[in-house]
Amino acid sequence: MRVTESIIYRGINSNLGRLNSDIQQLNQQISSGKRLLLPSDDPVGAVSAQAIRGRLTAMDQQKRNCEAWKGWLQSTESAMTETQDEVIIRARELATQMNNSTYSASQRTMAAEEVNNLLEEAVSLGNTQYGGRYIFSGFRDDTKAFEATRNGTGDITAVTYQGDDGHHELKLGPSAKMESSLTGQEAFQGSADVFATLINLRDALRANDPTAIAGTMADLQNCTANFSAKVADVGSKVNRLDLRVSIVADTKLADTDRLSEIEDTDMIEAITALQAKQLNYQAALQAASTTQQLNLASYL
Amino acid sequence: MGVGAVLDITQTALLTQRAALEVTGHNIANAETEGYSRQSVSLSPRQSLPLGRVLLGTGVQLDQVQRAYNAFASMNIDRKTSTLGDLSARDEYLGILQSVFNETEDGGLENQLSAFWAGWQDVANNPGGTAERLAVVQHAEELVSLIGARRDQVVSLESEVKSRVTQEVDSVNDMLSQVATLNNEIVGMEAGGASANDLRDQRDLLLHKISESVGVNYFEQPNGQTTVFIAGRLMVDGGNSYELDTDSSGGQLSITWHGSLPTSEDISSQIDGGKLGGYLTMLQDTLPGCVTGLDDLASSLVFEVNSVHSQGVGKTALTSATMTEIADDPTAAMSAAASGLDFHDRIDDSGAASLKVHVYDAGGTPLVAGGSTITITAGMTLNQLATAIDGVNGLSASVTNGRLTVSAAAGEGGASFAFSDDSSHVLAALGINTFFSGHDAGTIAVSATADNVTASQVQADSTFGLGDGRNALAIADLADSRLSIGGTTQTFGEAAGELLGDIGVEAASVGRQKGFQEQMIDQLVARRDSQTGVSLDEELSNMLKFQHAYTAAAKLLTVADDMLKTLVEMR
Repeated sequence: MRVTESIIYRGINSNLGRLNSDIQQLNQQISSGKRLLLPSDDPVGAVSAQAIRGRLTAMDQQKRNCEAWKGWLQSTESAMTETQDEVIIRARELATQMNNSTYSASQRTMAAEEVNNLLEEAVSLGNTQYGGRYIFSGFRDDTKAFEATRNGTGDITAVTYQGDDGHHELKLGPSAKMESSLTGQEAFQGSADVFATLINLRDALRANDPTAIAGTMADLQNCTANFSAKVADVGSKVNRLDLRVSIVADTKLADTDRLSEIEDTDMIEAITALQAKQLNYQAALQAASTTQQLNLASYL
Repeated sequence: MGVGAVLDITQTALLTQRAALEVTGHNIANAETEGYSRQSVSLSPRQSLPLGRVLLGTGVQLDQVQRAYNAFASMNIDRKTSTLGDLSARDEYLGILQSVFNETEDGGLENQLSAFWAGWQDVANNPGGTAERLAVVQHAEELVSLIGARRDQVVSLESEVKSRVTQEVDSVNDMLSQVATLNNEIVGMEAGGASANDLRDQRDLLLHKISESVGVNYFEQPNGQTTVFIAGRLMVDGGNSYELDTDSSGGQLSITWHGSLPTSEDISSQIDGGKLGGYLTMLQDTLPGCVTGLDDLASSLVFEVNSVHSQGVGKTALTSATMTEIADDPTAAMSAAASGLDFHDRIDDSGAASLKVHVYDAGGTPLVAGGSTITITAGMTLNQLATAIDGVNGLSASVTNGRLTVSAAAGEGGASFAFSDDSSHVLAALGINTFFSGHDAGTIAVSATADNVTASQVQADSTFGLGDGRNALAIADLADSRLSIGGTTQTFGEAAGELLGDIGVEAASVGRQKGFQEQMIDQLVARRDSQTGVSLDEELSNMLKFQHAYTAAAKLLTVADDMLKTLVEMR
């Protein structure tokens, strides 16, 4: 082929230009640490990277959800455990004890006072708050769950539920939800009403009526069974949240790795490629300057 | 015949070799001139004259100065240049578009969407919390401004491309008229049979530049004039040229041609290749595709979020609500286009769909436990809906300037109200108790205040609790719902991903083709230049050749002179 100067110059220009743009691209990949500078560098990778980013945000939120409701459920659990351990079990002990005919009326009156205190304690536990919200009020968590009606001497004669039957839910994942609350009715007034039972026991003790005292035993038994079942349920939910948090953490780690694989520059590969290109560029410059000297004019 | 003949021969030799040296000089001078083709002399012996029985030569003559030219190679290069021009124009704007849509940073659309949905979960976790409510409104504002900014950027790119089209059309018209002028000059100069090499080079260069701007067809007439066609339309005919025009009267920019005809025709769809072709592809497909994608996403976001939002209740029940949309004709069926409602086609007025409204007294107690049902009857108009709502005890409703306002009527014992169970989607379509206003990427805005964010839903007995986050959760669930967005069943995240993916794929493909086309043109140009380009080494050796010939002819002159002197001095 007949080679003219312009062919040589154009060749030098376009080759050096291509090398330059390759070097520039590698430089950017190395200095920014990102392999994906523009979507066109890898359209499929760019789309999955974006989906992963969205998922990471969603997973952060799942973790926040779990943390927010874990506190709530733990408050529920401790309020109910306390009611069971401190109130119901003690009331059962007193009822069993006072059922015995050896006790006198005054001893039973003293026991009645203790039961009355237990009743006050139960109402206050039923009105437990978490983050300023009454946890046993259903959706109406800005109002007290239980309101006590008192007689002239200040004794509680009835306890009414003021919340509604709403159950809070939390989002665990794209399609997973979990109920995260118990209404006061379910917790305290399930198969047996804790408050009514305690009121009955107190009044029976005051009336020094062993038959009536014995009559509350079955209700107290039911309360215990109801609380045990509910506490176990709440406890298992707390565990489920813990498990979820650790699953989310694992998935997040895997997704972060994948994101880095898609987006981040493989430094060793990029630096090796850059060195190869630099060598190539230097060789091209050398060749170009040698070619320049080959010219008939220098010999004439 | 005599010594005079030798002098004559010498003279032709001197003149011809000098002319050949001039051509060599012209080549060297134009070695780097764009579009220049190497010229060469073709010499032949002059006619011989008889001397006795023999014929004696009479010297040399210059037949013509011809240019090295390969019409096929040039046309091939021009055609590829058109394709490259198209690809380069698209590559440039796809590059800008990519940086507009670049999601490789954290502020991307899909990520903002995720943050928005996450905000609703925070509200669901603590529905009474003002901070959470403010945060979700803030997330929504950021999302909306991102979508709006994207659309604005695409639209401003659109107007930039349009102005480039106008510039390109002007420059093509200018070059076409130059081709016509050159056609005339070439015919004039070649009348005597000589070849107007330099003018032809100029014309070829112009045609090459036109190819860069727009796909062009041309051929040379027997008289040396070139006829040029663009999009199958006659552009240069001999010394006449016709112009391309732009017309943006229809909102869309189109390219028109009328030639020698009285009326213009739109030839935009037939323009192929060149920068113009590339710009038109951007204007007709790529950029509108981006706008449509954003609009579809925004429209679905507005409607789907509003559908759920409008059926919920905020921190407190409403005392008054006015629709954000405007009905052009309140007497037209709301589901008909004539109503002027942007989401008219989403309203179910089959007669089976209804909504519930719950009215509360000053103490917050429902007037009617379970609420009142308003059935959306077939072809129901906005005025009829107002009448139906007005009929509910404790409510008043009226339409003013195309907008429905619902208020609690104190006179009827109503102090506040709430909506639920809207299977007709009429609330979302009207923009009553909604979160967003607008209907596309350009108009989407946040219309709800923090307190009006409807985190809760009305219970079966019409009561509602501040701690109820069911409605917020239902909105958060939209993140993972597969909905019809722009006619495809997909999630919002997938729709945002598709926008990015489409641009990325197009840019990658255009970039690859452009690289391939450039290499191919490099090779074709090298091949053509090996025939038509100036090689300095070759010219220098030609120079020596002609110089020596000239020197030898001069020597001959001396010899002839000596011979004459010899004759003259003879006694």
